[in-house]
Amino acid sequence: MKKQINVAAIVDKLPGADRPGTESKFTGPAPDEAKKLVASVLSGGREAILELAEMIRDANGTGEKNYKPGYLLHAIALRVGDKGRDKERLVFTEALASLLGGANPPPGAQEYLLRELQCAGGPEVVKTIGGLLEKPGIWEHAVNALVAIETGAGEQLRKALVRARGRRRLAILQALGSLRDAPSTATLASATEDKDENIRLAAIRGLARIATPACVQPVVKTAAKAKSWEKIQANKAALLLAENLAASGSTDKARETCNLLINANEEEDDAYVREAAERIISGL
Amino acid sequence: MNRQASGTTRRRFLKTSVAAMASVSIVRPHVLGGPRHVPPSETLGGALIGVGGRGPGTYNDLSRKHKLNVVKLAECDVKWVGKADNKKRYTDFRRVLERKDIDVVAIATPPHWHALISIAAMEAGKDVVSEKPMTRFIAEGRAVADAEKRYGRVYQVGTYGRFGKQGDAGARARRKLMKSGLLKDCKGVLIMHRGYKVKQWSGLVNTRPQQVPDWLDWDMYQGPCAMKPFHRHRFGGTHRGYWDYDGGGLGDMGQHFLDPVTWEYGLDHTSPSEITPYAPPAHPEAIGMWGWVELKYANGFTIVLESREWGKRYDRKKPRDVSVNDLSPGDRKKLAEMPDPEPLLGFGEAVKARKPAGGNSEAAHRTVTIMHLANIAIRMGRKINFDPDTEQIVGDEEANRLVNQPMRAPWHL
Repeated sequence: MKKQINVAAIVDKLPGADRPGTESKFTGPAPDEAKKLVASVLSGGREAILELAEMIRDANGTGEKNYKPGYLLHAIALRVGDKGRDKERLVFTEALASLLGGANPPPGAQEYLLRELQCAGGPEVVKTIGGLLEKPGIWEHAVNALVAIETGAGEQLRKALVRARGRRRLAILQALGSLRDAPSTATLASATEDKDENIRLAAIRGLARIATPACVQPVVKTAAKAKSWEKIQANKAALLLAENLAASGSTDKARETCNLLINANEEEDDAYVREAAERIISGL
Repeated sequence: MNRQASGTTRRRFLKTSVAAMASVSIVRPHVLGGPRHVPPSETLGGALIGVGGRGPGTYNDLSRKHKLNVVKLAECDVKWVGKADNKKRYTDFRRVLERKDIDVVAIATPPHWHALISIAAMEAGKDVVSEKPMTRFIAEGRAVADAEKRYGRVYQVGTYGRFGKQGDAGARARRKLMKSGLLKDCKGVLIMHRGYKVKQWSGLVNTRPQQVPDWLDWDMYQGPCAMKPFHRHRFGGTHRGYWDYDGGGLGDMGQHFLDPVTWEYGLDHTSPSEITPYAPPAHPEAIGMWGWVELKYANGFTIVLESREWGKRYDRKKPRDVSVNDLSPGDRKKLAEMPDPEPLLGFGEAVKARKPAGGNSEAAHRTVTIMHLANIAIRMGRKINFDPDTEQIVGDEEANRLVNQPMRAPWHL
């Protein structure tokens, strides 16, 4: 059974900002003292972590009173991420996750908790975080946390993509590419035809990272018709795709990609792109 | 002078030059624009991205230090909202990089933009000088190095300590020794307690959001970092105190201090493998205090960075030089028969020769990785182990998440 502890008293033991009452820098506690404070909160288990997390009122540590709980919570996130502390880490992350998604704590505090889960969270919290991908104000931090956690994130992002629009759709598509989410190949291929240039670029970048033979046509087709900035980025995606195909043993597809890229870059100023493609071919 | 008016672009010039060199070597070097001979036809189009602070100095070095004949065609800065004409003055660097008449780009933005703009510039076929620190995290540096190699461009980080070191006979001898592979169990310990400006470039922990000035594109400034409310301390030099943008005094000044060290000790293609910090727990946003960090390489060579601004002094190891006396007589003979270090190419020479500059992206990446590893260990408050080949932190998932950090769309590596 966890012992009853006074979390507010532990928070008060942290040294104040260097210039109390003003926006200030912070020298921090001695490492040994900090370890004791962290251990004190952890000894109180889930209830103590919840009590500490609920003291956070916004994402920025606004004001003298608010930065201390956030700072201590982050110190705990770092402590439970250390080797051999997975049980404590699970208690910590599941406690934080239990505070997400409702009207309270306020959105700024939930943003802060999400950033801590980006540090210490694992597969145990991806479903909860996935549920925040539509929540105004914090969905972008939820995307970042899922990309950092990786395991299980693809499924959550794919689900949220169905109803996502605008910048949220862009962020989710980019995240699926970052995760090399192979089940998203058809979705990304379709997105290369989108009317939004940023969506098209996120799609070809994702396909270049997934790098299966099915990714070749959508990428080189985009490279062939793109102009200006999109052309520069599409050329990059095609080169990256060729490199990744070559690395996975699909040398014929890598060569095909490079040849299509060479044909799509015939101007004198594009010589460096052709040379880059030729270097890949010569290494096959 | 307008470069286009000359009728000769750099790429055409280089293409002709390379073809001439390949056919027969009867053309005199100055005709081709060798060192100290810049032919009038070789006028390069230049652009400066990030015009404040070091910007003008970094750009002017293209002609002063690097002896390039460069004409400034464009400048770009996020604080020109309402003042950009998208002809010579821009707020969006992508519009600058689209221009085919620009050959060389000088980058002097805050550090969280250095890697992304360097990569984009090389993707657009430009050569790059980028201010230090090269990157914000380790994976960015690998991506810059990949881009330089993929596109055959020239990259130089804006610090030049290694160029000075190569004139020092003792430094050249150390480099030769360390690069020889003969020193299997290196006992060298280098303790560096230079001016890391730890307190000066730390962050505020309890800020209240402020109104974004109407002249600033805050969304573009924040760029790949998670969106945060504006505060003047996050902008204009004091940005160095926030993990979103830089690595504090250590991250910012470290590349200057360690650039000569990585050359002298032959560390341009590897990284430390064991990193031990002494620091209070880090704040998640504001960079704070640290005492020292010990970084040990796989061959035993150890670098200690000591702040002398916080906590107790470093006392785990004593400084120790490396010398040929560490070798057996037989190995000393082998060392003497090995070639001396090759001279480093300045950026201007490298642009003309189409060869890597002395401060190329691989070397610069390995240097800045030292600071990134030190800062990750400080942020974790524990020892970390790094694999210099895979460039991943081993056995510490939480620490490894700082090696490659998520970026806010549409920005990505």
